[in-house]
Order: sequence, then structure tokens, then C-alpha cells
Amino acid sequence: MKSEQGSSLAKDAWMRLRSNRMALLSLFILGFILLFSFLGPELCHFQYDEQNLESQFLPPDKNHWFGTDNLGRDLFARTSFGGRISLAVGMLATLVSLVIGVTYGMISGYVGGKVDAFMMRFVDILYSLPFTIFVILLMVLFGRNFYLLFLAIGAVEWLTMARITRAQTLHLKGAEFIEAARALGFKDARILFHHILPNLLGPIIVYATLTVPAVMLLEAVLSFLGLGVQAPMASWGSLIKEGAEKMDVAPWLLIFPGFFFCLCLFCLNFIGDGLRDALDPKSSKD
Amino acid sequence: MNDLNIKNLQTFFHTREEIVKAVDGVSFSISKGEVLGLVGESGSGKSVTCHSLLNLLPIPPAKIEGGEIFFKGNNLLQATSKNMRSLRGKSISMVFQDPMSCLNPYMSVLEQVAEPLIIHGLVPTQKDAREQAMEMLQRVGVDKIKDRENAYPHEFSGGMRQRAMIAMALITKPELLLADEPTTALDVTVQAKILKLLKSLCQELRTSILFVSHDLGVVAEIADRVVVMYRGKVVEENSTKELFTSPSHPYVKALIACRPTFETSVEKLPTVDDFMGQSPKSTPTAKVPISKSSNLNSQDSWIQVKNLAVHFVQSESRKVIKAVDGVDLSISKGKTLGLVGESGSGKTTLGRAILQLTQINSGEILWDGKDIVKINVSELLSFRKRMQIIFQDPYASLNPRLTIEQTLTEPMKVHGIGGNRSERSNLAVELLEEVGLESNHLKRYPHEFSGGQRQRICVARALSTEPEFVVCDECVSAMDVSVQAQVLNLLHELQISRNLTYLFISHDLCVVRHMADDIAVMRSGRIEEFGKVDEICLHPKTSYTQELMDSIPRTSKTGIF
Repeated sequence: MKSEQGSSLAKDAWMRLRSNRMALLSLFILGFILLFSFLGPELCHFQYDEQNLESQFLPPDKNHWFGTDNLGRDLFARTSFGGRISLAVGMLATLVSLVIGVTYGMISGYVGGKVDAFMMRFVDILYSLPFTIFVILLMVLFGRNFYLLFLAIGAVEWLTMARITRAQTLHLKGAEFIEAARALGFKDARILFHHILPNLLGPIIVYATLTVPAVMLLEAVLSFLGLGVQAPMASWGSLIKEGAEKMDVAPWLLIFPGFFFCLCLFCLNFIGDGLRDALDPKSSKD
Repeated sequence: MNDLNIKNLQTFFHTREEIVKAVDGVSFSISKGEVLGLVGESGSGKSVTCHSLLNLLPIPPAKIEGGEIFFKGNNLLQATSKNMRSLRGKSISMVFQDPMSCLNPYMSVLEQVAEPLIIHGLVPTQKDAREQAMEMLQRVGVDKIKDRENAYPHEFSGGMRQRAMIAMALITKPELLLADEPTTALDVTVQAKILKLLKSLCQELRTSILFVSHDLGVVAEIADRVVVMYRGKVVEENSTKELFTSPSHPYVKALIACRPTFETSVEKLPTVDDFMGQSPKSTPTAKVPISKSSNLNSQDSWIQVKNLAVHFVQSESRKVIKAVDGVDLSISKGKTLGLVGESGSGKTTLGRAILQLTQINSGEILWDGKDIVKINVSELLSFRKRMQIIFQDPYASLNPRLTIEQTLTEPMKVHGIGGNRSERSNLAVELLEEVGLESNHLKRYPHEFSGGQRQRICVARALSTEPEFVVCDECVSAMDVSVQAQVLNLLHELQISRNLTYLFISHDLCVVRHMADDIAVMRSGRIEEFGKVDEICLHPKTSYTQELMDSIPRTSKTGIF
């Protein structure tokens, strides 16, 4: 059932997305960034953690395409390697927060009453926990672990998603077409996932595209505090941090990771806009 | 001397695909103290004309392409925005359709009514403004304002808010009042009072009115002269009496004919298409009185409601609202029970309670003697196949993300109608054709259809489970008379071909009279009167029913028919 209905919505959406030039270009560029992140380290003859104290702060040249940093590490290798971590953290943590937040918010809003009050108070309590202390606590309990990063960020980001979804669900619940669905004898699960969820896609997608950069920044903050990615590992966030400190000596240290970071965010925004329009049948077909 | 003179006004909307000529060469004039009715269906350009006058259009996409609007000798289209601002609310004021959303909820009513005086510098002090506002509010009949100077809009009913809007519009003693469907959102009894008030106040203040409405009956009550618009053009202009006795344009003839009247009932309502010659096969049907049969007294009352009560508890004040308060009803198979009442009388709640869409507090709902209040959840889900509902707003009652095919086949799938996907799809095509749509509409989304077409889709969806009983909750109330006639005809045909039973909920007595075999009049959660349609309409027993009947705007009362 889900698949046959889903396929036609998806097919229509793909038709509409294809006609959106900016979104298509953004998809293409994002694909290129992904390739760069995953194949880049193979193309380069330097390792991301290979130090060479004789070639400190070299500007970009034939040998070091993006220049080198204070320890003489090749920036091309580091940027492309950092892309892997940033993209993985950004996308996966967003996905985690999407799945948890949307389900939680939808159930809370749809059931309503005491259940809603209880579920939302729980969200409020989690909101009030100081984020860094929460992460440090997790690190102490479970030890330093790369996957803990996803968990910690996801655990914070889903809260806002749950609130947005709940508010929208409350609004939709009163709509006549939902009442019509009840009058037609549909079960609650069908109403939730087949009638309410598709109508939530617009705000969810827009918020998700805003979450990806927020997550990348959070990861940079955590890395800076020594709780996230540790040197010699690199992420765009940590590279930008380092680059900002040495901006006057070696501007390329900021420019290259910053360029990829921004490009990625731009693309995500355009894709998000495109997806929102594509998934809305009201937007014109051509 | 004409107060307002519009010559060849052209207002176009520039969209990406096309130029929509919303108002295309409209000319008319209003003389001092005159009430001019501007009539047309939605999309005919009547509101755009009205908004063009005050330059309240959204520009872009709207653009006034040509024409002249003279108000007391000045061309309004060439006025600067500063001049326009000093005119608006002072010499020309406006009353809007929806009293619920036109008042600022964060300002007290008194302050809002006084505001135009202060803005236009007509009074020396705030205190004077408040005093004048108080006087005006009392004059328009907002009676309780004396004790509650600081009352906010939410503390007033819709009728009282509309009175406050009128007070606000008239407080500056304007020369021209633009009334854009001022009574459409109100109950008939309130509407009758507001119309009377508007007319007498404007005579007193020598104010001219441009009264915009889709309802010819209302316009006949108030206007001296009527201008009828159709697709951006004026098709007829005449004195009210002349227009109703001898309309010349076929569209005007159709508008007059397609509204169900209180006095006569016909099998099938004529539609605009009959008159405009778009469907040459059918000829305009004459209004022949038909006799309505009712088997209210016979034994086979099919659905019985006994002592039904629905209470809501207000979340803040913990006050219990008895929306439905001990109702007894019976509905016979294959017949239509009309349920009339004003807003807030509990008629919608009653309809939903019978369908088990709201929790009921006490009482029984018997189907063939079986109490459906007591059956369990899964039994109820399958029972829903037999009873359906059609809502008032066809825009809100279709899921915008589903194609028509999905909307129609999903209920079949849930209730096991049709063996596989293609079979259900064929059934959906049959349904669409049954309600007067085409098979190529199947793959489209709701927003691609007009209001009338959407309501047909809603009817098709309700029929997709092959129900026996359908609740029509104000299902034609939001429609133009011409579309309303089509949908009413459709419902009538379906009732005969499928032997359906309707609970027809409406505030419009004319429509109920046309559709129903039996009538129940509802007031504050109770049934005021219940009986055969002809009996109640011709010889109402209670004073409330009498008042309802008297409030219907009808052309015959003015001696035109």
C-alpha cells in the first residue's frame, strides 16, 4: 500500500524537481562535493596526517594544491578528508533527529490531551539540559567514541523538530479532510502516516536543511572543546577553526575549507527549497 | 448629482501564465443617498471593483489598466496616496465580510470605533472621540457596551461585531459606504436586523451605499438599483423592481431562477447552463409545485436518536457547554431530514454525534434497533462504511497531497470494495461520471478544481464506501447560487438512484425546504420543532420558527413576485 501510493507521489515530485534548475545544479554540485570527499584522499599523494615541518605554511602550488598548514600537512588531503566527517555527521545526525522528532511530534500532537502534555514536558526537560555538560556526561559514561557524536547531536536536534511537527499536527488534526478520513473508517495509523505526514513534508524539509549546517557547526564546537573529532583527524568545522586563527599568516587555511562548507550549505538550501516545492502538488507542474 | 461615477474601469491581474481581466470595462454611478446593489458570483469581479475604488488592491499582481473613477468630481485613480488615505474611512468607508477577523483582537471595541475620528482629526480630544463612539455603538445596537467600556472583540458575538464594524464605518459620517458581503457570514435572523439597521442609518445620515453581494434575495431587500456582473463585465443594470420582474439578460434570469424559493418547490432546480445555452439538450424547467411525501408517522423509522446529549467542557473556565441537550429524532429510510438552526445551535455537533465523530455523553443511536453507541472500536470502523459525511468547505475537506484517484480508491481498499487496484480505479471512474466529472480528472490534485467540482469530488468520496446514510453538513452554504443549484440537483438524483437517506444540515431554510421531507428546527441544543416540511413551513407552531421564516430575505415580500 505505502509503496504504490508513495511511488506516484515520488514520481510526480521527481518530475517537478527536474524542472527546477537551481535545485538540479545544487544536486550536481553536492554530488561533486561528495565525490571530492570520498575520492580526494586517493588522488592526493599526501596523507591527511602526514607532517612535514620543512614545508610549513606553503601557499597553494603545483605540489600542494591547497597549500599546507602550520605542521606542513597538505590542506587538500585534510579538506577532502574533513568533508567525509562533516557530511557524515551532518547528514546522519539530521536523519536521526528527523526520524525521532517527526514520529514523536506527530504522535504527541495527534493523541493530544494528557499524553501530549506529558510528552511535551519531557521535551522541555531535555531542552533545559546544558548541551555541553550533557555531552561530557555521555563521554564519561561511554568513553570517547565517534558514533557518540551522532547520538549526542541527534539527541539535541530532534527536540525542535518534535515541537514543529507537533504544532503542525495539531493544526492539521482539526482539518476537515482528517475528519473525513475518520468518517471513512480509517485506522489512526493510516491517518497519521498517509494523511498527516505528507502534509507535514514542507516545514519538515525546510527545517531539515537548516539542521544540517547547524549540526556541522555543533560538531565544530565540540571538536574545539576536545569532545569531538581529535587531531590529526579533521572536519570542516575544525579546519575552519584553525584557519580563522591563522588567517593573517595563511589565509588559504580558512578559504578552502570555508569555501566547501559554504558551497555545501548553499546547495542544501536550494535542494531543500526545490524539494519542498516538488513535494507540494499545488506548485505548477512545469 | 452623482456621488460616484465609474467609467469603463479595467482592473487586470498579471499572473505568470496569463492576464486575468477581473474587471473589464465596468461603468456605473451612484447618486446621493442611493443604495446600489452589485451582484455576481464569486470571481465575477465585484469585490475587485469595490477594492479598486479605494485603491486597496494588491499591486502587483493587480493593475488598473484604464478607466476613471470620479468621486465628487475628483478622479480617484489620479489621487496621491496621501489624498487617498484622507478619503478612506472619512468620506468613503468600508464594511467587510468577516466580522470575526476584521476587528483587531488586541484593541477594545470602543477604541477601534473611535480610531477613525482621531486619525482624521475630526474631534479635539480622545475623550470626545470615545463619547461619540459610545453614542454610535448604542445607535447601531451594541447594547451592552455601556457597562463594558473595555470589552474586546472576542467578547462579542458575530452579529454584534458586525454592528461594531458598521459603527466604525459610519462614525465619520461618510458620503459613501462600501459594503462587501457584510451579512454573508451571519445567521438569517441577524442578517435581517443588520440589513434593516444599515438601511435606516444611511437614510438618516444621507450616505450612499454600494452593497456587494452574491445573494439576489439580500440585495432585493436593501437596494434601490442593481448592477449584475458576470465575468468582469456588467450584464444588466436596472431598478430593483424592474430587474426582478423583467430581467433581460439570460444570466440574470438564471440567477433569479436557480435559487430555491420558500414558496414553491420543484423537482429539479434550473441552472445557469440551462439559460446560457451551454447545454442545449435541456430546456429551462418550469417551477412546478411537487407534493412531498413523508412517512414520519409510519412505523419504519430507520435511524432513531433517543435523548442524545453532547457536552463540552471549556478548558479554562471549566464551564460545561451543552451543545446537544437531550435530542430525540427519527429518520426514515430513503428520505431526507432537514436540520435547521442558527450558528451555535448545536446542529453540526448533532450531525457529528450521530456519525460517532464526537464523544457523546448519554443517549442512544439506533440503526434498525441496534445501538451503535455501544459497539466496540473495530466494529465501528467497519460500520463507518454505511454512513458518510459531506462537509461545508470543499477546499478544506480534500487532502491536498492525494490525487483524486487516491482519494476515491483508499476508502474502497480499507473496506474491501473492488478486488484489485485496476478494479478500484474503474470504480472510481464510474463514481466520477456519476457525480458529473470525467475520467481524465482521476490523476489530478484537488487544487486544480473549482469549488463546485471539489464538492462533487467530496460527494464521490462519500459514495465510495457505498453508504446508506449521508450527513450533508452545510454542504452548499459556501457556494454561489448557480453552483448550489447543480449540487442540490446532484444530491437529489443520487438519492433516487441509490436510495440514500440524508441528514441535511443547513442554516438556509429555502434550501432545506427544497431538499427535505421532514424538518427539525434546532435551538440551543434542543429540538424546537420536528415534523413534515410543509406543515412546519406553512404553519410553524413556535415563535422561534416563525421568526426564522420571517427573516428569510425574499423577493416576494417586497411585492415583486
